[in-house]
Amino acid sequence: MHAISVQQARETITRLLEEYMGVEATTVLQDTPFVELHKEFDSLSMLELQLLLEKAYDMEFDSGAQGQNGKLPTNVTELAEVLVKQHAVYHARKARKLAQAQPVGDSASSSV
Amino acid sequence: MPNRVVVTGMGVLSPLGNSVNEFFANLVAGQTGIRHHPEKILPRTVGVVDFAPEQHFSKIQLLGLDRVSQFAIVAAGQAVNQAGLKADAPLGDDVGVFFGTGAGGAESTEHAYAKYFNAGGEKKKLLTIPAAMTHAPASQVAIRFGVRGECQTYSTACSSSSVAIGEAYRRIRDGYLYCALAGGAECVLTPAILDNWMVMQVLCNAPSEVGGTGCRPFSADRTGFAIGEGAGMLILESLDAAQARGATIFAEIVGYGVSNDAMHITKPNAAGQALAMQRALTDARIDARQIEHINAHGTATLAGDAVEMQSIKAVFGKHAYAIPVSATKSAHGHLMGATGVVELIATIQALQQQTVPPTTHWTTPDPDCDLDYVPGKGRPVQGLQYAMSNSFAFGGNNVALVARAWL
Repeated sequence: MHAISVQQARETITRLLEEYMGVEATTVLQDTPFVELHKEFDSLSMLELQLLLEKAYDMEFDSGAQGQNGKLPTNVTELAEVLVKQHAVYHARKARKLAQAQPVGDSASSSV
Repeated sequence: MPNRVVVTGMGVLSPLGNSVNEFFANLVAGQTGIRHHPEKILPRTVGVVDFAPEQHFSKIQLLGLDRVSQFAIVAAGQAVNQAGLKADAPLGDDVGVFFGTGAGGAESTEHAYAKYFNAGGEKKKLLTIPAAMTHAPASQVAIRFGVRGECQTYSTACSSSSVAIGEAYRRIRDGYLYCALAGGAECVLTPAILDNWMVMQVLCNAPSEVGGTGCRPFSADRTGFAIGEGAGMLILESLDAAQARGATIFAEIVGYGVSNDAMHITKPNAAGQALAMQRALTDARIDARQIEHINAHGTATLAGDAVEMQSIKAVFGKHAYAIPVSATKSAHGHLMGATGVVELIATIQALQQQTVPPTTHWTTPDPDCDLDYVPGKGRPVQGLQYAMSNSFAFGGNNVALVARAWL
């Protein structure tokens, strides 16, 4: 897997917001608070955005889209930062699981 | 004193058109709304609504609204506008939503299952639960119009929206509310649902080259119904409230009768149906002979139509032969939970325009079904004052509603 940058994440989020929620890219990229992007944007919209991102990156968020302070991101840069971390965590966990699933033969041969 | 209850607004999305006038004009002209689905591959012709969601909703709104909720909101909007109620201010604490739907957000449910079982489509669907829940369309209507009195969903299969209207009528009559948005919506034109209806052997066998001529209620060659989608909403108000604000009145709801067979999960029962009709007449305080038009449940199944004839004759006796009985499902399809409200709208229009709608595609007399079915096209009538609309459901729920002309 390739790590994603905050800038790449910002662009993806903006593209999804434009495509699925009909908000204007320029406004999003100016870090306009999500709730001001559209009068219908609410906590369910944030959940929908999370699902769209999971699909776009073929990943799953560890829990919700909260940042380290436990609060939901309020604009595109904050969400991009969460996404970059979640993406790294997801792939690290996936790599760990793959390693654990390696055949037992490996460790047996090393003990000889 | 009980309140009198009147209809001051109507809205409809139907296979015959997306306004009350268009719907009724096409119905009377003998048009059919039953055809091959323009996008989906389905095993039968169906009653499809021409609907462009993006004309009514923003992208962000559409993410959370199943088609059935979209229909409900648009039909309710038409009714609110026609009634001259303010669409931009909350309707408030003394208004209710009474809604009927059999399946709620069925498309969202089917989509979610398809994803879960890897049966095609996108890998992930957005939030299914709030879109698919049976109470979603009613709640969305209440949210849209600021209805805070109460908001109820009735899911009694094919009588759902008739129950909703009857219960709203009682609430207003008995003084709990002065106004209600009452009706229902159904959108079940999905491959899995159609597939399972096929197994029931109640869907009509339309020749594919001619589309919508297959549903022939009360005709000897009937083979069942075509499933349709649609929505209808009424604004019901107490007569006092309607007159106080100078509203235009389209009809009065005077009788609601409901009963339950407690016999069989799908087989209709003449005694149960007759009980509902008799109760509606008692509620309306009229004699059976005063009913001069019936919009029958008339699904064109072999057994169902014959049983409805038995129940109508049990209630109306010889007078049954003088009543024009229309089965409009022949033209718009069986809209399941929404069928009752759409047929009541047809009944109210019949009273308003003094023209009874036809039983489209009726061809051949049947000894079990020997009443006047108004074959082909609508018929002008004179002095039509009281009409009844019947809705009977799988499960055994029976409803009859009686409306009175307001001319």
